[in-house]
Amino acid sequence: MRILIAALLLALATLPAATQDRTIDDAIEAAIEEAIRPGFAAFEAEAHSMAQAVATLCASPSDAAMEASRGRFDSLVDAWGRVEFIRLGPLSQDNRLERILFWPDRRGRGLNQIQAVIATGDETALSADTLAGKSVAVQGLAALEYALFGTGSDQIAAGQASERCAYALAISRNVSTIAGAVHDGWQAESGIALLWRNPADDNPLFRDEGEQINGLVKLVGDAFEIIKVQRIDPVLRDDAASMRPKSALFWRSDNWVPSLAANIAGLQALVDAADLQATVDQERARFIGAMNFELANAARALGRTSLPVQAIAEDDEAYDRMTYVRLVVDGLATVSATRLKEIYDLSPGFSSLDGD
Amino acid sequence: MQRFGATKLIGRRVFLRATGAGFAASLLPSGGEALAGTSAVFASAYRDRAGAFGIALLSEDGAIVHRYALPARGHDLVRQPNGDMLVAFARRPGTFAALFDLGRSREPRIMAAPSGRHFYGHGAFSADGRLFYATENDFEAARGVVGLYDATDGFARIGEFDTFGTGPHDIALLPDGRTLVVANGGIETHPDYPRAKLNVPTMQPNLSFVDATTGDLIVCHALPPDLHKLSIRHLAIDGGGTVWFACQNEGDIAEPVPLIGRASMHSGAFELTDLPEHATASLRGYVGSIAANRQTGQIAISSPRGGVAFSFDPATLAILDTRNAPDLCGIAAWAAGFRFSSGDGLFDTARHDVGFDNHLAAL
Repeated sequence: MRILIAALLLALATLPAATQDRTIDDAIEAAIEEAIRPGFAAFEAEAHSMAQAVATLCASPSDAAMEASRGRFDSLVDAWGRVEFIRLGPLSQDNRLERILFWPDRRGRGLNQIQAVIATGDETALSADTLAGKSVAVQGLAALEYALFGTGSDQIAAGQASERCAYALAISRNVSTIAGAVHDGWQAESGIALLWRNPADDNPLFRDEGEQINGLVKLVGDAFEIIKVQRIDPVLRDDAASMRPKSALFWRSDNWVPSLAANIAGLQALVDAADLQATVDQERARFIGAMNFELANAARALGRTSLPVQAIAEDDEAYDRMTYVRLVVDGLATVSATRLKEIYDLSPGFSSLDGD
Repeated sequence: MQRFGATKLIGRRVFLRATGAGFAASLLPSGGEALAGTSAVFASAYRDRAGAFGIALLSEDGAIVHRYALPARGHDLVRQPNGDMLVAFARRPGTFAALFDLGRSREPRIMAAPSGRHFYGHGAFSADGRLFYATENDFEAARGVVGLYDATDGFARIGEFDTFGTGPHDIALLPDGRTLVVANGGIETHPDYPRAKLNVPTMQPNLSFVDATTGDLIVCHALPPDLHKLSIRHLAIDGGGTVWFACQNEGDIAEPVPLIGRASMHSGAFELTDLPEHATASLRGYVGSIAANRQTGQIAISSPRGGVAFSFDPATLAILDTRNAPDLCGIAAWAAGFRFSSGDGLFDTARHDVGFDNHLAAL
C-alpha cells in the first residue's frame, strides 16, 4: 500500500492539471451514454452471437464449429467483464447478476449441479425457458464454460454429446435474454438512467448531487475490492508455490487474466467517460489523474500476461506481475473508499460499507 | 446443546506478537486512569485518522474519557449485568473479542474464536451475567451457531447450539431470562472470500427464539418468499418484551419495502411494520442500528446509507424526531430519548476526530 501511495504521489508531480469545467450531472450523463449503455449493448450483442455460434455447433458439430463457439465465449467473457461491476439498477434485479455469473462457488455446489445436469441429460435444462427457472448456478457463464471447455466437452465437436450441446445452447440463449433485459433496463428513459440523472427528494436512489456521484464512486470502489478479494487473492495467495489455479474464475477456458483485463478496461472506460478530473479543482484533479495512471499501469501489466493461470505458478516473472496488479488494485480500492470520497465531500461511509 | 471442555483464551505473548505495540500499550493498567467511578456511560468502536482501531468510552456530554486500542476493527459492545466486563467484538468475519474490565481489576484480554468458527460481531449476557452467548459462523457447514462462554471462568467456551439459520448477526435475551432471540440474516459467507455474500438468490433469513438453557428451538419466523432478500440483522427489545427487528435489503432498493418488524413470543405475532413511505425510502434499503427506549416506549432506527436516524411511536408508527447527518448509525437509548453517533465522528452535537462504528452501547 505504501508503495502505491508513493507511486500516486510521484504521478501527481508529473500529470497535467485539469480545470473545473464539468458538473456532476455532466459526469453521470457521460458515464451512462458513453460507457454504460454501449457496454451493455456490446454484451447483449456478444451474447446473441454466442447463441448463434452454439446453435450452429449443435446443428452441425465439427472441430471448426467448436472452435468458433469457444472463440465466441472468449469474446463474451470480455464483454461481460467490462460491465459486470455496474451492479446498479437492472443487473441487481431478478437475480440477473447471479444468473449470468454465479461466483464465487465456494463449495463447488454450482459445479456439482452443472455436472449433474450434463450427466443426467436433465431435460429441464435443455431449453432456455425452463433453464431460467432452475438454480442460478446452472444458468450462466460458469455453466457455459464447463459445457464448452470442461471434461468431456470435446465430444460435442465429434457429434457425440448432443444433450450437452443443447444445454450449452440453452445457457447461451438464457444469457442472451438476460443481457437483453439489462440492456433494455438501461435504455429505458423511465428507469435507472432517469433516476440517476434527476436527483430529488422523492428519488429512491439519488436524493442530491452527493448521492449521484457517490453512486459512481461506490460502484468503482466496490469493483476494485471485489477484483482483489474474490478474483485475485484466492488464486495468487502468498507465493507461487501455494497458488490455486483452479480457484480462478474461467480457468478452464484460460480466461482468468483476460477477464481481469476486461474488468480493468471496463472501469477505465467508465472513469474516462465520466472525466471526473474535470469536475474538481486542480489539486483534486491531480489525485484523480494519478488513480487513472495506476489503472493504466494495471491494464498494461495484465496485457503483458498472456499465460494461462496454471502456467503463472511456474513463471516467476508472470507471478510477480500479477502480484503487482493485486497491489495496484488493493491501493485503488482503498483510495476509492477514502480519498476519492473525501474529494467529493462524501462521508467515507465507515458505518455503511456492507451488511453490518 | 453441545457442551465442550473449556477452551483457553489466546496466550498474551502470542497475541501481543501478532498485534503490535499500540495494542500492547493499551493493555497496561497504567494506560489510563481507573475507570470505576468515572463518567463513562457510552462505548463505541472507532477508527482514527491514522487508520488505527479502538474502543472509545464516552461521557454523557459526549467527551471521550478513555480509549482502548484494538488490533482490528471492532463492532458491537456488550456490558455485563452484575459485573464490570465489557465485551467488544471484532467486525464480522472477526476472529476475536476483546474483554475489558471497566473496574480495572483485571487486564484486558482477547477471546479467540475457535477453529472453524468466526464471530459475527454481536453477543449477549445471561441475566445474571454469568454466561455469554456469541453469534458465530460454522463456515464449512454454512450453519449459524451460538457459542456459549462461561464469564465466571475467564470466558472459557463451554458449548454451542444452533441458531437455526444461516448468517446469524444480532442476538438478545428476552426479559424472561431464558429465551434468546437470534437474527439469522440468511447470508452465507466464508473466510476464503471475506465479506462476499455467497447465496443472495437463495438466502432465507429468519428470526428464531431459542431456549437459552437447552438450545432447543421454540419458534422460528420466516419472511414471505417475495421478501426473502430482507436480511434480518439487528434487534431491540421494548419494555413489554416485544422484539423489534431491523433489516437490510439485498434486493433492488429502488423499490422500497418495509425494513422494520416486530415479533412477540407470547402472542406469536410476527409482522413487518409499515412506517410512512417517505421514511422507509430515506433508509436506502439499509437499517444499521435499532434501539428501544423502555422509559418512553419509543423505537429509534438509523441508516448510514441514507444519512438519517429517526424515532417513532410503536403504536401509531408516527415519526417523532428525525436527524440527518452523513453516515449516521450508532443509537443508544438514554434517559427519555436516544443518543446517536456517526462514522463521521459525530456524537450527538460533539465532533470527534474518529469514525465511530455502527453501534453505540449505553453502559
